[in-house]
Amino acid sequence: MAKDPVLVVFQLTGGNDYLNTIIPRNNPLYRDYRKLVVIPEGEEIPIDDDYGFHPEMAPLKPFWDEGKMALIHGIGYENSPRSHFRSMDIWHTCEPDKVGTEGWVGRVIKTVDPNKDNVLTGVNFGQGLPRAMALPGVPVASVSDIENYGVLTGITAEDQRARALERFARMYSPAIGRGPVMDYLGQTGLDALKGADILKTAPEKYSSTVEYAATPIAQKLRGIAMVHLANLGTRVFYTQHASFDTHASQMPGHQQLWKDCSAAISDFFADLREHDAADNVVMIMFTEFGRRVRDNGSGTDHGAGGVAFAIGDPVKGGHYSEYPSLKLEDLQEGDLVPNYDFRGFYSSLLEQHMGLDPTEIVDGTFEQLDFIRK
Amino acid sequence: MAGKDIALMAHLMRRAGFGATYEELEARAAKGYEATVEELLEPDANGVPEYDELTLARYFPDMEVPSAPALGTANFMYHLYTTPRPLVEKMTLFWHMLFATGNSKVDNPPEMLQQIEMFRQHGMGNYKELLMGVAKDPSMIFWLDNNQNHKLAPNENWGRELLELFSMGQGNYSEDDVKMTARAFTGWTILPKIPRTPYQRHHWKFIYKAEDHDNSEKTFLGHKGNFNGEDIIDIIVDQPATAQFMARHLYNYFVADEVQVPSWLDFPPRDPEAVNAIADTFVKSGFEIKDTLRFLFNSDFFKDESVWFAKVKNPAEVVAGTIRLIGDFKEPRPGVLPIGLEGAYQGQDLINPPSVEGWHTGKEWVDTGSLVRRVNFVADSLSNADMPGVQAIINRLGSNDTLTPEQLVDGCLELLGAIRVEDGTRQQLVDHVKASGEIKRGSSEDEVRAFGQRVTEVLQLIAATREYQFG
Amino acid sequence: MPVTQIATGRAFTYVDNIGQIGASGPTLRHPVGLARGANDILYVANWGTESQPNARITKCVLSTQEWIADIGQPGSGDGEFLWPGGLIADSNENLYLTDQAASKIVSFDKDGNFLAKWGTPGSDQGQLLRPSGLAFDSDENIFISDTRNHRVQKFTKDGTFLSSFGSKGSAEDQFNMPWGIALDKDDNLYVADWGNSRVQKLSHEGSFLQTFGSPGHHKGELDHPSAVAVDKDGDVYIADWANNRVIVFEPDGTFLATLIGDATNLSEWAKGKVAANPDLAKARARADLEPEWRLWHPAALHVGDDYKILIAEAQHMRVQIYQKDPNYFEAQFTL
Repeated sequence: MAKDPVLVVFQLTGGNDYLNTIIPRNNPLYRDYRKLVVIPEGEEIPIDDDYGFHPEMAPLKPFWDEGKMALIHGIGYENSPRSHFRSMDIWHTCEPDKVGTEGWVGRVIKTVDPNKDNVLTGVNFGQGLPRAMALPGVPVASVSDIENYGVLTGITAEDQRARALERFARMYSPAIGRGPVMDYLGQTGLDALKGADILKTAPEKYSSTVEYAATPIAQKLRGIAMVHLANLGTRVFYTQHASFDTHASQMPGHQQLWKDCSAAISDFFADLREHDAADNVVMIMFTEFGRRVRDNGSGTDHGAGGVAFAIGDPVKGGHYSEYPSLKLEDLQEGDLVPNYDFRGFYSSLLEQHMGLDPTEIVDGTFEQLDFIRK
Repeated sequence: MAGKDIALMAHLMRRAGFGATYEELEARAAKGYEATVEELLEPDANGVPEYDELTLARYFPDMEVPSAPALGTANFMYHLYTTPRPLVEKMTLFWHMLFATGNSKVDNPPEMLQQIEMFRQHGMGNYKELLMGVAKDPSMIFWLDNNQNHKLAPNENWGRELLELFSMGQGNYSEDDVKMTARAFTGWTILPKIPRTPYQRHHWKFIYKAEDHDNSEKTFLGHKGNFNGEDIIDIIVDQPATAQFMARHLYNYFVADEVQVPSWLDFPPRDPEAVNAIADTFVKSGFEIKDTLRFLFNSDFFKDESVWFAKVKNPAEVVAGTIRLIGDFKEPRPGVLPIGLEGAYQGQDLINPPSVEGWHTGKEWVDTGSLVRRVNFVADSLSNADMPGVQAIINRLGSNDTLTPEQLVDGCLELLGAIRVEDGTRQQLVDHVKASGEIKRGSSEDEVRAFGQRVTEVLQLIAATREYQFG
Repeated sequence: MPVTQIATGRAFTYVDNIGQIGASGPTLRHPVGLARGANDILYVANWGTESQPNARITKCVLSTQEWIADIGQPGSGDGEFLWPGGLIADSNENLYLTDQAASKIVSFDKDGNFLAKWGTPGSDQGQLLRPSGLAFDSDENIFISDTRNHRVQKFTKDGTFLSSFGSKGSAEDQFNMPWGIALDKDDNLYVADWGNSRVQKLSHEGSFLQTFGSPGHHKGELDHPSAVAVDKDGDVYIADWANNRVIVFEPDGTFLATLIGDATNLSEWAKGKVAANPDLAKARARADLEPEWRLWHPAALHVGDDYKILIAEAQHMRVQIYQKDPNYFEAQFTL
């Protein structure tokens, strides 16, 4: 039986600097604009005649070389507000013009699992719930520590917690006629226990030769690998790493960010491949906006237009859309002008990888790109 | 130790505040119910200190003028759990939930806190004046696009929500009334702002631009004239629908959970008589919120046991109530950020409601994720025997050297604020205690610690019950 | 555009400002402490933020605004601190900083190497609760504002307790959450008695001598002063924190001048920021920038022997620099 396609959404929170991530290495304008926050000539990792990766992205280079990494250039939307929260909301809700309340990933989960058969169809690794996954009535598990997930995790003594959980289950078991709210709470509590019980099996079953780093992002991706490998039916994973908001001291800061992320991603796919479980997984990386074309002497400020990534075996690698012009006369308020709507990126993934009709999920029809292998 | 007076006081403090320690409940009960209501309503006249904003500013400069939204959230939450005037903050939260303005668009946490401060200053004053304040509030103007409501290009966003969500409720006005409202508020806008960089954000400022105001005649709810925004608010406030709508909101917030607001047109109030009585008081007082609240808290329908625990606590109540109960943050200390975020993780991100309709309340606060979150937060807090509030409970129960399982469970329920649970739940708690053997305080350090653990184990289980999710 | 305040034989002229908002590098974040070193070096203690912890000491060159290093980092380990309350440099240019969160004193050498950390939280003699301002006397013993114990304590530089005075209250030689502290050349002590909205001058042994200011918002009145400094002529500078100004008194308590902040120019660091963001320059051109020029919660003061007056603004992420002319004569108009 063919495996169900799986999507891993990896959010680069804070606004990743496009220019220092995918470096237009032979464009003299790059070095004109970037005096101090610049990748020194020759230190970038060339990926072709025109572009190079940030030096810390070496662990990602093999994906590019194997044709399993797509770069979606100039991605964004019109009238970029340059505000983290508004911009992130737009990416999360696909509503560039008004305040949206429904997350696009939430809609994906609802489409994939309309009857809520699986409480783990969507799993977030991190604290709280990103707005992308928020949709009333759609349960999503949010896991900050997979080894210690569920209710009453503060009780550390194992036997004591087991007894407390047993008691919890009894106290939540619905009795007839206790009122609609009490009954609802009872069901919710039991669902929470069930989800935790299922999720608990993932770290128990897991074994791997891959040794992830101790960084937060590596640990989150390890958690995703555990759940994915446990075959719990999860179709969408979500996680994020912060903070790419590099206004000052960007050179050391951005370097550390890509060092941690690149190693974690590389280990994640190695882990999946070791278990023959990578062929149905696409990871996408996005950020709310790129940064200013000119640096500010120590870092870069909020800009518009960025780069998104799609990585994985189902991906057809290469450049998609176009790197926006760096010419001064083509910039808008000192920013790159985005030339590809992010909803087209989502649509391509949803239709070509997930096999879903994207129209309702992204609220419209947008130009798709062909970065998924047929 | 239990008593009807204390149980009623616990009900009052859960609703008019964020709960109270048992010692506070006893002191207040001794003072009397009506005297407590007066103290909550009239803190100035009763010698209750004002909120100490300067100490907050000194020890939390990052929270006084927050750069990150989470610090703005933390600021509001900090007020909830440190205020000496709980009803002032409870009403501030009420107005925030009603005039729901979100930082996701405003993108200026200090400006959001200015709006919150306005609710704090005027939230127990006159409703008409409050509406005027809201109409001139820069965050609200930006949130509902009134800065784009021009004489030649009206924008209806603010006008519609003023009628639908902030005063009369659906079904009491026409689309034309919306258009007229929008036109009456043209020219109500904000001055160009000082950018947040390179130094720091500064507050936005309201400005009335006469040259951008539509001075033509307008017909609004049957009245005709060259109305400006003030006139619209005058007319709105006089509508019976407004009094009904606000009364139902107050009932829903203070007395018992109603259906969600969008269903109010289709479902009558749970207690129409009570809502009518609140509305009457509201009108007769000239829309004085304090007078209306005085009536509400002293009314039989509020004190009636049938409405005790008839509300699912909102996350702000869960978080602030827990911090107050355990007595944390008596002194300023680092660590305010996770407390603010805790509310967000439980589903109520203060200063950032999901939309202008605010949060859905009642049982919709709870889903699997938020239930786990709230149970764990309360249980973890109550398991910390170093906290003065937890220590007080342990010490009080430890004044008897031995306790039966029933005494331990009933004692914990009582000391957590006269919590009531169903018989089946109580039996489960008792059984749980029984299974762990005899309860004895003892005198050695180990025994005393073990006794404390027996107590906190019960406190944690109570926090995990369904009943504890109600307030 | 230099702005000058003239008062009885003295002039106070705005010179420049240094700073901009940020978490590291050539930026400041809620600056609350100031110290100067040799060769035009300036040290600024930053509170940072809890959401993006970045408490640190910024080391830079005062005149050129060249950023040199970030010293220390947020945390509770060696070389780490939270909630900095005051910063001073000794004669070797070693830096001493109060960590209000841990109730400890942390020291670094001028290159940023961690030296020591001492202090015990508590209320007994020699213990500290949220210590904030600190100052050296002429023997280089440290006086510390022991804020939440409402007293002043004296220690050797390496933390040996020497003496303590004051208690909670509003009488003479009592305190309410004292903050900044300074000594004059005769080793008299000046304490910013924050909660009592006054500055008390005390003898080196702690007996009351004189009060500067009284609660209020009018000329010469104070609202929760945060810092105090005394120049070599004995003029007393008080950071009137909640009134957002600095007040200068003559040694006898006569009011001299009020500095409200005059930062109409961009700092060198801020210039880079505006240059990189064309829409920022446009937005600034549209707005009334006056609120940005003024002082906002001045939290630390330093007046050097060169009469440079430095004011750290906790909410404006910068230091405003004024220059005192001690021998000001009005030029003849007909000159």
